[in-house]
Amino acid sequence: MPELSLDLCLTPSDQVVMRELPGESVLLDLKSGFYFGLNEVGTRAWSLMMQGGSLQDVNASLHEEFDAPPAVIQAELLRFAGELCAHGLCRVEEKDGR
Amino acid sequence: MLQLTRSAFVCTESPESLAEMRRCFDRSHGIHLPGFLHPQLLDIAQRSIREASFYDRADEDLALEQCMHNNTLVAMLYLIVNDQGLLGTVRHITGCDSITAFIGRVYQMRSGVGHYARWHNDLYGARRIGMSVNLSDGEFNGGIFELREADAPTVRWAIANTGPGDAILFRVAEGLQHRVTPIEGHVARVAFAGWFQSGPDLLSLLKAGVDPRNRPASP
Repeated sequence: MPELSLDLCLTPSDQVVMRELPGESVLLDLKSGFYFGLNEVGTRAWSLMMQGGSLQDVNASLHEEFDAPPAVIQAELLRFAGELCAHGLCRVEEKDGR
Repeated sequence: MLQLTRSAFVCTESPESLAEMRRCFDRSHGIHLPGFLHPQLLDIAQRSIREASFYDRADEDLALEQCMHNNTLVAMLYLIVNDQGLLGTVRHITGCDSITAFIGRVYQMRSGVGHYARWHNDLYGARRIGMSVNLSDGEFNGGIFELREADAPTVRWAIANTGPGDAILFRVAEGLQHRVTPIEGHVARVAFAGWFQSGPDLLSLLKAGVDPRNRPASP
């Protein structure tokens, strides 16, 4: 897996089903059968990623919506994106779809 | 249309249409939801069912069917039908405000192997509203869902529900009974069926480390 940067886009795996539940959301990996819980910020980040923008776009939106230092948001976003990829819940694409 | 997709429950019905659905449900105690399961999810379900194993399940002398062993498909179905938007819409259509969760199983009925579902009422625990989603791989014959008032011999509402991914909702109450007529032909009637009920919601169960698939769907 390439090192994640804000220039990349994440695309959800075809094997993932997601539901928002009160205050959070749950992802189900159909390959493994494991559930993954996302908190409020993770749910918002996932939703923004699924809109097709780059992690840079997601980062910018999270900056506007959540009250945390920019460096913390960026670091947490990249860590979150890395975990999604590591679990096979997303795949990485460059901005031009490669 | 009311539809479950990979990411959300989608309701494209107007308030007026939902109000009409409620009137229809009040009259018939049942309602048909065409295209309830998105074709992409139906395809996932049918591919999974082809590879799944089933076991015989008998419910006294009321029903004999084959239930699918718990697998990832059941986990997926539990997740998508416990959508808050769907639960709210079912509450709205049925007037049953106490609904908080859905519990069910995937089962099949075939012809020639003695499967049946005689008149019964499903009353058990906190069940309020029944739902059956058609997952059959082709159009089955027979297998008509019929609902009647317990003290009247005539059928009040009947539907084959053979459309791919279509669903029916029906009321579970003391004075109502339903059955499924025998299957004819070689196509099995396969459904994800169960009940909207009160009690712990899906998120509470998951947080408590309880696999919702291990909760009994039937007595």
